[in-house]
Amino acid sequence: MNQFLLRHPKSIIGLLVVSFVLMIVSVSYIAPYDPNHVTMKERLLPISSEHWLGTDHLGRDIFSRILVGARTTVGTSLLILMCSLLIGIPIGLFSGYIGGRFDRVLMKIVDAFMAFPDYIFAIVLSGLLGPGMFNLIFAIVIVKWVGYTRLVRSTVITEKHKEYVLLAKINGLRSFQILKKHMIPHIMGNVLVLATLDLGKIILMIAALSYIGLGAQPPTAEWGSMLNEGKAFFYNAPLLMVIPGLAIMLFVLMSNLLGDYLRDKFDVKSKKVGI
Amino acid sequence: MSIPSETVIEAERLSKRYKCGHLALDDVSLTVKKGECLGIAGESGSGKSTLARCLLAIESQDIGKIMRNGTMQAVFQNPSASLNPKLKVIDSLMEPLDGGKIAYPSFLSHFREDRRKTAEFLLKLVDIPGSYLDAYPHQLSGGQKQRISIARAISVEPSLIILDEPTSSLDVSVQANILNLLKDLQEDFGLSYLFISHDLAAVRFMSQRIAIMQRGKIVEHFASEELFSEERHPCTQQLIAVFES
Repeated sequence: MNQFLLRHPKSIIGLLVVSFVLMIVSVSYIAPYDPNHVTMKERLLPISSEHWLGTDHLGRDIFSRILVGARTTVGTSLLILMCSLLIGIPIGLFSGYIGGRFDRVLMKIVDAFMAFPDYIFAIVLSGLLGPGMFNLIFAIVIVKWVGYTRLVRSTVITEKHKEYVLLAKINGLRSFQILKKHMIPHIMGNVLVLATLDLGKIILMIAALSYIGLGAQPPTAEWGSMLNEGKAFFYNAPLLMVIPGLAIMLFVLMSNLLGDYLRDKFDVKSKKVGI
Repeated sequence: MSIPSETVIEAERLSKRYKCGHLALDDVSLTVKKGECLGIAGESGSGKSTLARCLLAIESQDIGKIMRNGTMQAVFQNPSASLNPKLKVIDSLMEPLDGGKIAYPSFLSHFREDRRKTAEFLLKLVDIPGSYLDAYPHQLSGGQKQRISIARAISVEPSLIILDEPTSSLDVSVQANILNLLKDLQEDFGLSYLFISHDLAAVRFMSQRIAIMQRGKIVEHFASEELFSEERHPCTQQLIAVFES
């Protein structure tokens, strides 16, 4: 175990932050104060033993809002990621494996999606659809699924002509079985690495859209909208922006470290197996 | 249409032209009988591999027909591409039997479908320790990988194994080992081979009959003892000259 810690210091940081965030998500149900309870007498309080991270411009406890906001932000980003994977992976698998005209038509669609810068596309989409969490999720999924389709398709195309796939066909495996047995192990490593790295980007995107008022609506506690609300008080109470900013930063850092860790883990060649 | 039971495969007048216009097979006919090894030699690009793919039904010929008696297996040139690098040896090795469509052959029946014991036994047949079952292909040498491909091919006791350049990407010393192994297995299990190689020495060692291919045609077809006869086709003599030099 000690050797493992020494060999993968980064991964330990990543895992620690995961447990930290998991803790936040579970603790959000027992936050010390009601995150939406307005107490005008207690507005903009500094850090104290009563309010660990102070209070905001409406006297709401920032610590409670960060905890509850984690549920909104992290939960939403995981939901977006799951939807992108569920759309992107099957389309990539079939497009790459079937090939031909089917593949060409699909890739034209993917290229069309990719032609737009993803932030602008998401902003335009959620702007057109109107503010709100559901539209924000929809807009980000539309932007994100194409990356997985591309990644999966290119892996499938390089692998599908190799002899082991021919042998699987000779042995009577159906296309679906070949995809499941031979292609999925090939794509899972790359997909998971991309997904964990994407998790950070998705959080940033949610926060950015909420910051400009397109995502979570007040009084919902969400890190991006907390930044947005805090910006008017930045000179008097910088904590209002610093705390949610730090929360976002830590989460993005965690997802990047986790991505590195998974990349090492899924590289079979680095695995030691006793012979 | 049926073929005599002692024939494992019969191909009649196969032709195939690729989309680019290259005529890969031009009126090729051949027969392999039970327990024999038919060698096919020819320089690269002569259509040997296309023939193998058509016989295996991975590709379809434009003209001609193929009649098969029983199951077919194959061992290909590149041992690294023949095993999925992400799968453990046991999962690649047991693929033909895992499908459940093919019954365990008689020589494996006393394992009562115990997957692991069967896999260990198959590895033993090709001189690889059973402890390699949980290894990944990158931990094995090229020769070991090729032995595993061979074990996988014989696991269903196929009526024909198509060996498409099985030794061409291996070291010379390993090549001899693999050829000897193939020959021993053929004797032990009464296997039929179609042995494809550009190496005439290997083809002669393995085969009873030899067919020489050039530009998609079988230019000549003779018993392996007659290889050095005076009447050989110039193409054959050229191939002989290559391996004598």
